[in-house]
Amino acid sequence: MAGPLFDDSLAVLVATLADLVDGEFVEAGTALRDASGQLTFIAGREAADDAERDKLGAALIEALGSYARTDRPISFRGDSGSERLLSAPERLPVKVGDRFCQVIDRRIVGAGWLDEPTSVATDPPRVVFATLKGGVGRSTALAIAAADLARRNRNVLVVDLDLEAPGLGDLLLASDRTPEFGAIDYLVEDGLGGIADSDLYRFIGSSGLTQGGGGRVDVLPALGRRSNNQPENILPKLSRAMIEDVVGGNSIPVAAQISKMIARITAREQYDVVFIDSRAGLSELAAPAVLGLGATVLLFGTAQKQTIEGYRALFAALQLLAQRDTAAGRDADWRMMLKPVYAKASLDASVSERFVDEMYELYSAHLYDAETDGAEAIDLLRFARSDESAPHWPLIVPFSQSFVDFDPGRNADQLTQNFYEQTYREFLSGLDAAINASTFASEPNA
Amino acid sequence: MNAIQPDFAVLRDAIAAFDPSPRVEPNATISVEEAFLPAGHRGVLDLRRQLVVGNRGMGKSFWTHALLSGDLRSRLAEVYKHPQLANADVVIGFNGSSKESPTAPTVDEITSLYAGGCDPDLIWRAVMIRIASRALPGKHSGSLDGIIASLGTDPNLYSRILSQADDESARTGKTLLVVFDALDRLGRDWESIRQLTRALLALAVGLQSFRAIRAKIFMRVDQFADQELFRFPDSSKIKNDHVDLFWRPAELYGLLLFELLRDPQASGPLKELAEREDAIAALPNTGAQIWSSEETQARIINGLAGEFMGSNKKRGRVYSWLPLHLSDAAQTCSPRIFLTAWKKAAEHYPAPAGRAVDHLGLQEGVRQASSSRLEELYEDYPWIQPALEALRRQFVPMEREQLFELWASERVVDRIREKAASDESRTPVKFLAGDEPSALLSSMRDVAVMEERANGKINVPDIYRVEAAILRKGGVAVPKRRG
Repeated sequence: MAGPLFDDSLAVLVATLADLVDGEFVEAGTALRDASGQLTFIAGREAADDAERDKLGAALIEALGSYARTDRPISFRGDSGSERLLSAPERLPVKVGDRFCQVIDRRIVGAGWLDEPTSVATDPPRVVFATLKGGVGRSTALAIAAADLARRNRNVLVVDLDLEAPGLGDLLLASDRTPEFGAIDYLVEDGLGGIADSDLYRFIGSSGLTQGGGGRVDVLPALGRRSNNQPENILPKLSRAMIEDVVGGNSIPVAAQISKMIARITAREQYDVVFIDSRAGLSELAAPAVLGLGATVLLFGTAQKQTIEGYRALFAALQLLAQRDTAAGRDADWRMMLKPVYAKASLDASVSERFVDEMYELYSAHLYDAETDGAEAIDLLRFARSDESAPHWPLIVPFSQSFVDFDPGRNADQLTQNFYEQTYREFLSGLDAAINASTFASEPNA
Repeated sequence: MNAIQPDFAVLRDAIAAFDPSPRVEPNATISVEEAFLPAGHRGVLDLRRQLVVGNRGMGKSFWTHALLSGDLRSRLAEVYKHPQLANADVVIGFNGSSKESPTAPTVDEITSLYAGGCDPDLIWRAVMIRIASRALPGKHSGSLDGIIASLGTDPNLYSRILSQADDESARTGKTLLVVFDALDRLGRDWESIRQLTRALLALAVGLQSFRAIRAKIFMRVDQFADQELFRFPDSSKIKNDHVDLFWRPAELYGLLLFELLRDPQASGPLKELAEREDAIAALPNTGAQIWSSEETQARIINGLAGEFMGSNKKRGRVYSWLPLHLSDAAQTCSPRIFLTAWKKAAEHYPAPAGRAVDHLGLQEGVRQASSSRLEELYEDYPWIQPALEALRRQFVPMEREQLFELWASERVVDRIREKAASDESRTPVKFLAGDEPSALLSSMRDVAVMEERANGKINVPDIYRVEAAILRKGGVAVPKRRG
């Protein structure tokens, strides 16, 4: 592993060009990183002469080693294709040292994390239940929150987007309640023949959590009865579900497809809130849910180091998107919709204090605005550490042995209010507040 | 804090003047002002949920009629946050009326079609075609037999007309909501009622593929408990998200306060009382049940009736005692019965000082309400009377065998059949399955007049036990107070 590695490559490119030309030259251009990781630079001005072109190209090949695009290490404004790249909206402003470099990151896997996040809250409000790791009680919390809302006369739509490891359908729907189709079928068929409004009800099952004297809990499972009857088709369908649809020459990102799917279902029946169960981890499948649905995103995690480090990878990626939004004059308010959930919390106050500290550090370092001396500092997105209404302030789900064998699909009676009240009330109240906050946000200039 | 002393005599007079409305008659109208809207009834207005199940007096007919009132419907849409309801076109599909209507068939029309051998499914399709085609060109407005004959020659007529109506409704942003109530009057025997009801439920399941056409079917608890009714494909689609119509204690108290607020004399003193108790938030000024804590509401009730059912807390708190003692085996109480208990309590003499009613009045109120409730139930379920009367002066909880022996020795099953005479719908629907004693017990449980304890013993809740002179087993014998 001689020469610069991935983590060094961009810094080497920036340093090389800043030395040979100047910092201004770097900031006015755009670095393009291809799918393999090799870099090429597009300068923001025309080349002075062929000598400059050759000199800089040779220097980059020399400095970057295997991270240089040897066929074309550098191009200039006026070269074919350069104009489009220099003004590409997907350019990410990446801070290298004390200066910004615009980067276009071409990915085959994980491209979903580069889509523009949605700040527009939806009606009805959406809440994504996401985790980096499994086994932190995410599905249990979702089921209890749905049951509690139904008890309070609210209608809930639950969407299982955990297509690679579906489980929520089984948790909430006994087998005789499972609908014919699931989200996976919607995403496959929508890209081809489309789905008529009159068929949408065939994707929805009525959960046993629906209360005769309260609200409804409807479920759009990942897999429907058809998939269960023909399991050999699940993997082939999955690989076709999570791709962009091409309609009339325009590609429609998966997040937009999912968002439309939810909007069509909620337009058809009255719902007060939509809960979305999302893929655990940083994979491609989690991106649309976290970024593209206009949802409040609950990030479940324990107070362990692995949770904090997992969040850091996610937040650092989001930081680039926020910088891109800010550079383009967008408010990046989607940052306000990310909410940590401290799961399996212990009674040890010092642990939860530490968790708040760490969350505050993470949000401050990656999501909140940097403080500046400028006069416009009033509009900055910044919060005090102990502000309980701030995005970083976690919702808490205490650890309870009672919920280990939780299976409300088989045993709906298990979910009496007394059963969950003590453990979950604080979480449920916090969730209520988050839902109400996003409802207000959706009111035009109220 | 206690500077204001509300005029309790005025409040007492207002309570005594309650006129708990009897059954809502077919084709009655309900005004916006007189409607109290419990939070827990939101599901009734959910267009997705086509089946609403309720015991006698829980509001089936109230909601049928509320849905039909345009003014009230706009208000319901707003209060309950069901915006689609404001744009609904609500039509009666059946309500047990004998009056002719351009949409709903009369009882006689249905029974004669069925007796003539017409397929129940075709009857309901014809009803839906007649309703759906009102806004369409073409003539399907005549008698049902005419439409049924057309259905025989043109099998696609139903889906064609309903699809056209669906497109039309969707285009104008409206929903066509067809309401069915009083299904127990679909026939004079359970088998035909069951066949017609089952066909109606199946038809409603089929409506799910339309965007803008829905049914709302109101059903009695005893019919809903009939397993046979749901023996058709996809029946779970309508059963799984059915709505149970009942009242929670906080909703019953909300109604009480609402009725007092509507009284021009009493509203002033009630607001003074609420102010004194720092509980203004618990007053349902608009008729919509607002979400305040039960403690706040209880402070007003304590002010009206005292906190305890006696001189101290050993006798229990009024706020929880009253709904508990008025509740049936399903743990609920009808609003009419609740108001009746208060009315009778306010008529009890002597009037207490510093409150509107006292625990002695409330005890009397519960006894009178109990009698009133039984009268009401006998109208819907005449078989309850002989079944309960056989238990007179017996002790509950009792063993199942003992209950069956009592029923046998009193010839209860025979008497139910004799009393029903030619109208078989006056026997329990479960008699269809044979084994009448078990069917009767099961039906008594369905209508919440009896309950089976965890140990298998049969009990009768207080509200029915006292009036039917059934005794409760106890350890300490108490001399009778009643005289």
